[in-house]
This record gives sequence, C-alpha cells and structure tokens, in this order.
Amino acid sequence: MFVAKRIFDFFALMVACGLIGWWIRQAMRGANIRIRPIAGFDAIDEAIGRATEMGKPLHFTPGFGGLVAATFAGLEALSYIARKAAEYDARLIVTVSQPETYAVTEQVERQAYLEAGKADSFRPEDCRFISPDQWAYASGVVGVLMREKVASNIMIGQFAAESLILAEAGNTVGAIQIAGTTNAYQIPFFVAACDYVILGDEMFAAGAHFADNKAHLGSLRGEDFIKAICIGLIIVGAVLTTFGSNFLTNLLAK
Amino acid sequence: MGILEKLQNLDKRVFYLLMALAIAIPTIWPLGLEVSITPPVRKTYEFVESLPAGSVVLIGFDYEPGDEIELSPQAKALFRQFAAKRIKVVTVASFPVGPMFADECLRVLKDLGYEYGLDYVNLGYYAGGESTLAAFAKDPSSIFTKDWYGNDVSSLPLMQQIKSMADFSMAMTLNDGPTGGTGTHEWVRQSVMAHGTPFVIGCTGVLAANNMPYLDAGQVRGVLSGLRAAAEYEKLVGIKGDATRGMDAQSMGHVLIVLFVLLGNVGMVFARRRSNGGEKR
Amino acid sequence: MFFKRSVPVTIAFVCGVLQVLDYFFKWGIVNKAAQETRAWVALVAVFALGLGAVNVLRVHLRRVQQNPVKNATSVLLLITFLVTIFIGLTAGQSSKPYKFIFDYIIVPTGSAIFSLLAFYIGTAAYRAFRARTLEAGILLVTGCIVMLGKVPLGEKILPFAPKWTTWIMQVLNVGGQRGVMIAGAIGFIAVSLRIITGLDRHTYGVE
Repeated sequence: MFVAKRIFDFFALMVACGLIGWWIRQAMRGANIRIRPIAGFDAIDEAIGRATEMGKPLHFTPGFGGLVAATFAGLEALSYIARKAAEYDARLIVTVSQPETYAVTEQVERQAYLEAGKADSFRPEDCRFISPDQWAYASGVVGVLMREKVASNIMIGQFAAESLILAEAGNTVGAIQIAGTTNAYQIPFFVAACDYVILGDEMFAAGAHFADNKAHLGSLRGEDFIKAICIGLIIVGAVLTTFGSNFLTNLLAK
Repeated sequence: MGILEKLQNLDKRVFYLLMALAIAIPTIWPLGLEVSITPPVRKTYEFVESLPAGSVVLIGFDYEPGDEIELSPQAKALFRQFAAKRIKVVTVASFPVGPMFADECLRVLKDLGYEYGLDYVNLGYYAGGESTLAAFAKDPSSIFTKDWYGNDVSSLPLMQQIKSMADFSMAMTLNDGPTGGTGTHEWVRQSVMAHGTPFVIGCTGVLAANNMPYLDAGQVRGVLSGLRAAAEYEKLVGIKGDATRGMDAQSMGHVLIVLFVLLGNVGMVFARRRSNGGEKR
Repeated sequence: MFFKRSVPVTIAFVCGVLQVLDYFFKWGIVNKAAQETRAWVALVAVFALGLGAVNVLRVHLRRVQQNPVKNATSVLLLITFLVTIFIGLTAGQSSKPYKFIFDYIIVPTGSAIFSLLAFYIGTAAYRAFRARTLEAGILLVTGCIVMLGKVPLGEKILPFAPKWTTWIMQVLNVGGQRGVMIAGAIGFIAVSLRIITGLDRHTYGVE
C-alpha cells in the first residue's frame, strides 16, 4: 500500500498537520496567542504614510514566483497595503511576473479596495503583469520605479537574482524600501540595499500580523511546536550518530 | 573632508567605470589563470565516470538568457564527458526559452557524431512547474507527445525505452533558482525522492549556498555552481572554453569588490578616529 | 458565495489531498486521478498566460492612446510583442526568424540586465559591509575570504582562501541553510494546509 521509503514521511506529515490543525482550533476557540513585533511589517504603515504625504505612488511586488507559499505570504501583506492605500487615497502600483499570480493578485487587490469601501478607486491598469521572463520582469519593474518616482517600494514574496536590481533601483529613486523573502541566499542582497527586511519564515506571520487572523496565529504556534520537535530530532540524531548508532537515520529512511 | 574620509562615500559611477574596465580588459586580453578542482565538481565528474556506457540521462534546461553565461558552459563541458562514454541524453525545459539553450548545447553532441532520436532528444518546454514535472516523471508520454522539432515522441527510438523517471541513470537540472521554472528543490523531490534516480545539480553561483545541504546529506551526487564549476569541468574534460576565459574577468571583478569594501572600511576607521579625537579636544 | 468560495475550496481540497495520497500510496485510481489533475496544471498555466498577455496589451494601449510620443517605449513594446507572436504562430518556435529574435534580442538583453548585478552588488556591498560591530566585522572577513576563494586570482592573493571557502560553505553555511530550509518547509506545510481547507481567504480573493 505504501510507496517504499515514505512511511516515516507520511506519519511526520500527519503529525505536522495534526499539530497545526489542533492549534488553529485552539486559536479559534479563543486561546491567547501573540506574536512578537516584526519591524518590517510595522514599517509598512510608515511607507504608506510617506507615499501619501509626498503625493507619489507606492509600489508593491510579490516577486518572481508562481503560486507558492512565499507568494501567498506576499499577497497577505498586499491585502493590507491595498486596503490602507485605498483609505488614504495613495496610488498603489503592483507589478507581477507570473501569469497565474497575476490573476490572483488582481483579485486580492480588487477585494481590498472593496473592503475599504473604495471599489471605484481601484485602477486595473495599476496592477501590471510584466513578464514571466526574469530579466524582462526586472527591467519592467525598474522602469516603473524610475518613471513613476515611487516614494515607497515594498517587495514581499519569492525573489531570485533580480532582487538586488530592484532594490538598487528603489535606492536610486530614494524610496523607503521594505523587502521580505524566504530565499535565504537573496536575504543578504536585501539587507544590503533595503531599509527593512523581513527574514525568511517571518513572512508567514503576515496574516497574523495584519489581520489578527486566528487561523494564522494558531498555525504559527503549531509551526513552533514542529520546529521544537525537529530541533530535538537533530540533537538526538547527532548524539546517536556520534556514538555509532544509525537508529534514527534508519527510522527516517523507512 | 580628507581623502581617507572620502573613501567612505565614493561616487557610484567611479565604481561602475572601474568594474566595466576590470571585466572588459581580461575578456579581451585573457590572463590565463589556472583553476583548481573543488570537491563538489570532482564528485560530479567521478559520478558521471561511474555510469555504464550507453546510459540515458535526463537534463532540465531550467534557465533563462541572463544565466546562460554560467549554465550553458556547464552543459557543454558535461556533454563532452557524456560523448566519451556514449551516454545518451534527453532534455526538457521549464522555461519557454529553455529548449533553445538545449538545442545550442546539444550541438556539441551532434558535432561528436550523435544521432538525433537515437542518441539524444530535445523534448522541449513544459508549463506548470513541479506538478507537470511530477506527471512527466511518472509517464513522460502524458506530457510530451511531440518533441521540440515537432516529431512524434513515440516514433523516437530513444524515447521508446523511457517509461518513467526511474529509467534514467541520472537526472540533472541546470537551474537559476526558484524563478518560475522548476528548480533544485522541485527536481530533488520528483527525481531522487520519488523515483530514486541519482541526481546532480547545476546552478548559478549565487545558488551554491542553497544547494550544498543536498550534497552533504547525500541526496545528490554532485553540485556544479556557477562559472567557476564550468571552468573546473572544462579543465577535467581537457578543453579551454567560454568558462575558462570568463574566470579571468570574474577574478578581476571579485578582487575589485573586495578592494572597494576594504577601502570603505579604511575610510570609516579614519573618520571615526578623527571624530573621537575631535570630541576629546 | 457558493461559487466564489465553496466550489473553489472543494476543488482545492480534492486536488491537494489527491497529490498527498498519490505521493505516499500505491492506489491505482488515486494515482491516475492525481496524474490527470497535474496535467491540468499545464492547461491552467497556459490560460493564465493569455490573461497576462491581455493585461500587457491593455496597459500599454492605454499609454499609447494617452501620449504616443511620450510613451514611445510602449509603442515599441506593442510592436515587438505582436511581431514575436506572429512569427511564433506562423513560422514556429524552432524557425530561423524566431531563433534570430532569440539569439540577437532576447539573449543579449537578458544577459545585459543580469550583468548589472556585477555593478550593483559592488556598490551595495561597499555601502553595507562596514565593520561597525563585531558581528559585522566577522561578516566582512568571511565575505572577503569567500569572494577571493571563488576565483583563481583570489587564490594567488590568499592561498588558503579556497580551502577556507569550502569549509565556510560546507560547514557554517550548510548549518544555517538547513535551519532556514526546515523552517521554510514547515511554513509551506502550514500555508498549504490553510489553502486546501479554505482558511486562507485571500487565496480565493474573498472575505
């Protein structure tokens, strides 16, 4: 019945889903779960305020990825940003690389304007599909940043080698820059060129941070428990292997 | 403000000009610097050497034009080693431009006497990323009915012996990261994890850090990262190609960046000393 | 609400669970259904690409209507867009004209934009790599060793650099990378679970 060597993986996934599900249930029942402040998320209000005061546009991009977890985390942030931009009448320009992401992004933005009671303020031409080609996307976004002279540049999602090109363009136009990605090897580029950086899986706290979403808060607590189990397994595994036992290695390979 | 303090805030354009010169000069007049072979590249070479003659390997051309300079030389050097062992090659691509890079690199095999359909096949582009790769891994004919050149895949002798990913002796992605196509993580999940096919990574230099854990964990047989790995591979297969020439320019570029970073720090230290001295007075 | 929320959530749940079951179990009908839905992804992606193309046309046609002289780049974009599509559809992607566009326009421009990184990383590193604290100093020294250890000229300047680079990349870096990968993977599980159970409302664009 089981595919060979995937029995442990299956039970590990079940335990992970069980823990996340249980904590989501607890959160929805009113368990008191809090998250620490994340500077990058806190700075988003400042970025929107700056664009409003200067009368210049605000730019957001969920990056170069398709519909992956990091992109969804970016869209959570976009939902908040678009709602606030609508409330303050700040012009928000969103650039998207992948076609499937574009369809979802436009819907998220439209919904945020609707929630803010400003459905008519939404300009479909400001939600722009650029190109699925990495460098065409990069040059397209740089063009938008330069031409529109944006006051704030927010980049949260999946980014690859184009990250630094976008961040340096934002730096050149003097925009306040907030960036976040789970791609560990792009984080140094953002750290070097941006004002605020949301590090790695901090991004997944977007929903909990902006909307106090109970399901998100619960799943974050569940994730913490899984991380604790992983740390325990790493320590036990290292000790066992050091003393010549392959018990855990063999168990993980089952 | 003294010269040393000025080092802290040099005009960007000065750096741009020097970088352009540092790259252009050795490209025009090569320095001929020798590269040493690093363990990840040697592991890749030795793994390919261990494959039986006539094996079939799958290569994913998962990159776009910007990364061609780093990844195409890797493919071309590898293909020379394949040719020496008559290893057969099937290529796929997760970007629309990928099959064109495959076509260009496969010319190396064609020039060495390989016959299309019998010894190598360019299947072309697939949309849908990892999901489509997973479907391909289970049944290639469910994704490709025609190859890149419009031939019926079922009519190609090489493809008649391929029923799933498990029929490949080695799979490899030449990828530029999670940029919309299928990258290392997706390939590892769908090749070595799902079908046990030995896997090798070819990636851009910036991805080296991200891909090393797979090599250390024994999940992949080798990692080629960036132009440097391509230059090392060219040395191993006994040619001096684009990568070997490119290493001179890369050398100068790296040294210039290190120099500027150090100059910036020297300026900072002197500025700090002067301001501390001023406060004391 | 039924068609905006319940139907998409049901489809997402069935498709998501099918993929999980297919990965772990050998059940003929489940494996076949999962394979079928994966093939649909390619179809959906192609339709989405069409949607993106319509957006590009809409944005740039509007810009051209507003001021064709000021927005000359949009005119150029529309011309190249239509010419490339025309050649791709009529002559095919492996034809000579298409290959010409690829070899002499797409590849050089893509490579040129990528090469900007060489300039930008230099200025960004110059601004950011300052040894203001002990940690920043360690980062600076490590970065310089790795930069030099990766190129032959660096080997000549610091002969120990390649060996140290390999150690830094395979020991220090791997430890950190594994931590980020594990944390990221756990996050992915949580996000996926929320999506297929309909708890991530933004995925479906509804409240």
